[in-house]
Amino acid sequence: MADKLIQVKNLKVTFNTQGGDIEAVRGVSFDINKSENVAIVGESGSGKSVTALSLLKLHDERNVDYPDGRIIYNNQDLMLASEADMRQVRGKDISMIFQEPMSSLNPVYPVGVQIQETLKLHRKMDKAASRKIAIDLLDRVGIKQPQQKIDSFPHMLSGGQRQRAMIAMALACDPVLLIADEPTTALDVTVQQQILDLLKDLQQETAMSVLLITHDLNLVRRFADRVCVMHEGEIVEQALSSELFKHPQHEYTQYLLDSEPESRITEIEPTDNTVIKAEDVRVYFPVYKGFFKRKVDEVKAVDNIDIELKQGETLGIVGESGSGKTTLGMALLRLVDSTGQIRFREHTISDYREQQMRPLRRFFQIVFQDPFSSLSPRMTVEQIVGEGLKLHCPELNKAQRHQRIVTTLKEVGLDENVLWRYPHEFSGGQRQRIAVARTVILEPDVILLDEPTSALDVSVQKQVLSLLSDLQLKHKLSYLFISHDLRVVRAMSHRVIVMREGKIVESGAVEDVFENPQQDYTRELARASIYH
Amino acid sequence: MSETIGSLNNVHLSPGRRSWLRFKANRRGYISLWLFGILFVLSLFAEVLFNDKPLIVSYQDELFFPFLVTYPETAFGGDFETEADYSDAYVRDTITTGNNWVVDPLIHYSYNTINFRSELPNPAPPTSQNLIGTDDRGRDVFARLVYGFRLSVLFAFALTAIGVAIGILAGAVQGYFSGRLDLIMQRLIEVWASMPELYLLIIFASIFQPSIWLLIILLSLFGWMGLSDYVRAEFLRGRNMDYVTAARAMGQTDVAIMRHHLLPNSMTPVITFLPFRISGSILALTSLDFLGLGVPPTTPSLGELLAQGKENIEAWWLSLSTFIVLVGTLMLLIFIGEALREAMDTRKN
Repeated sequence: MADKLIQVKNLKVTFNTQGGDIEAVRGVSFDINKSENVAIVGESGSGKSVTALSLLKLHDERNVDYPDGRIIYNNQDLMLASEADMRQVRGKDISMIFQEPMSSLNPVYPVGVQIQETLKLHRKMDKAASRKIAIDLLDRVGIKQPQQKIDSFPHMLSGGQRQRAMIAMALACDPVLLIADEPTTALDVTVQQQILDLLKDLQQETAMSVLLITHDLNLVRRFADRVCVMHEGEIVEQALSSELFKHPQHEYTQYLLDSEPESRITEIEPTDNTVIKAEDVRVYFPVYKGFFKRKVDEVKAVDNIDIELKQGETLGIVGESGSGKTTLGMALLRLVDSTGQIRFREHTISDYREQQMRPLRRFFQIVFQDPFSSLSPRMTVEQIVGEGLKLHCPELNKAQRHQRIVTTLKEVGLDENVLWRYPHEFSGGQRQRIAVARTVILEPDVILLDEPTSALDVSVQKQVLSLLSDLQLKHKLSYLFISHDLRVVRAMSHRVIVMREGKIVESGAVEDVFENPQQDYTRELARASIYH
Repeated sequence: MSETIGSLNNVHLSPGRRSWLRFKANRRGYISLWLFGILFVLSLFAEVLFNDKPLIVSYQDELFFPFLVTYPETAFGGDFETEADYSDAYVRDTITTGNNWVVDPLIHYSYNTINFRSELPNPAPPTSQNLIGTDDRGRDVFARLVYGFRLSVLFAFALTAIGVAIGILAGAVQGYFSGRLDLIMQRLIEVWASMPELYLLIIFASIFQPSIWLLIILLSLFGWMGLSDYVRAEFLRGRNMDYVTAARAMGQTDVAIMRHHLLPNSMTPVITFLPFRISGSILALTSLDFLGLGVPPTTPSLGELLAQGKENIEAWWLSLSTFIVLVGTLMLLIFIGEALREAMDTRKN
């Protein structure tokens, strides 16, 4: 067990940018033993991926410096190795899988060809032999019907299958070390678990080592033998994972463990005040085919859904990607055409034309998942937050409007001096606060929260969630909370509906659904979220 | 771990002021703007600086403004009812002797003043009378260059403004509404773009009296299409962004979304192409004049000067001076455009 496979000693990585040098990694040392699972955990910007890429020297040579450090592999210092020597190591001895399987597979080649390429390169195999091995590999990573799937293009596979194909590629030359950079982040929860199980099985089968890079501390609890916690370019704590989770030594580790979303469900008095009531909502997207564009089929994105939302309540909408949860939210806000009846207080808004809707729009607002694309990069914070006010409260003069904007920004925890800034000057969490400010300034009744914390680091996630629940309590807001992350939904929602393929699978009070799921699908989801 | 904004400087600057600072940070563009601005403003007052008529004449205690008003020679005690020729020795004599005085412009030639007193055959090389010589009709090249520069720049500004306005409008409508409207407009544009522009210009030049306005109209009809494609693409990309959905959820009208959300985010191609469009317009006018399809012969034009330079290849002052003016103008414009692009980029500090 103590057989060291690779030793990283005092590794430093500096990026030269126009704005000066950035020390991304400041003296990191760790070892990976043979057949060991090591995880590097850290929030975005902690230097964990930079460290992983440095092992294979995959950074752009022109703007990276390694001021210090040694990477000892096979009695050889990879830091001093030539580019030709590195190519021998890459893909053959050490291979890597990435976060986004769609962009790391080349879309114009079938997956089989891409697996065969590695075999051809490192093991000098001919076409027939490499194809046989490729089929074998796809079978090993759990892709059904590998003979057919080998000729599929990446876009024909699901996210999980793509990640499996990536793993097959990485395994092609029997590596001794597999670096997995956030291998499950882009996947649905149930698929995440399968991929991790697969990695663990393969690891035991082949006795390779795995270096897992992730932001999710709980993901590694079951997976890793040893955990390195990274923070601002340094490893702040390194321990066996059994030890680390029981007795976290460093305060940052404690802080990370502590940032699990805790229950923030606000107490609400029972009320009959229904804000939104929808019956038989359906959104079908037609599928056209042929030269005359005949309608041949329909995609039932949302199919026959009834929903009721009371004042001050959070309704969680849970489901995997493609289950129609965002479309349902958009339909309820009349941003997507739908059939069925939607009532907002005394208005039957499903019958309203856009002109009639406009004055009502201030009462329901949206916060999006990606705080980078939801704020216009060419508008200042004052313009962004003040836009709705200008529209819906034209009676306010400039000074009054300014006052309202400042008050609202304070409410979401931002200072007055952010007014003139542009969105790119803020971190993800701050941007999400701006997005929240933009919605609450209009004093809405309903806010559609579309994965509001999925793009954020865990610690920031916690802050945003607590901000949201504070605002809910203060303004008696109703939330439609869309998320694939069941822990977050569980922490926030009073009631929850589980969606699959456009239909409601299960619904009810949040404890009932999670503690006592009635459907197989819900059970699977709940299990995956606990494993998490 | 509270989120603070300590690292950012806390100076209050309005967005416009910050853009200006970014512009100034590009030294080359900033100097180019000053140079171009001075030259352009001076050329706007070309009538005051380059004229064959005096600015002010005081004749028998009465004030005359010949560069603005046409006076007959009889007003200055002459014999003819026609306009006074102020370079004529007799007239010059009467208005400068005694109590009479004259304020002359810097250079005593306008763009179409013929120097009859030149002792050299036309085109004449630079002399103390004509600083950059004369053209083949004895007109002062310096004056023609200044007037030609002014006309070219004004023409280019007008053409670019019209082209950008139509291009943005068409591209925005296509991109934002997309679907069938986009499809129809795109086909119409393709048909329109396939018309041979140069032949149309030749045909129109023979039907109508060639004038600068006709040129602007004709070139505008075709000039907007290149830009509208880029704006359309930007709008198509932008309309699916979350901030547009957020604006729709807020109840913004289509026009307001296009104006406040999509347009500022679609300006990159517009700004990027702006200097090239302006210099392209100057070149278009120059080359049409060079071919003889442009402005009428008396109009001062850089292209006509180049054509003369080609015909009188030994008269180096014609082609060289025009070449320097053209290249200088185009370079200044491109440097300014480069700095402008950086100034509009809010992500740059």
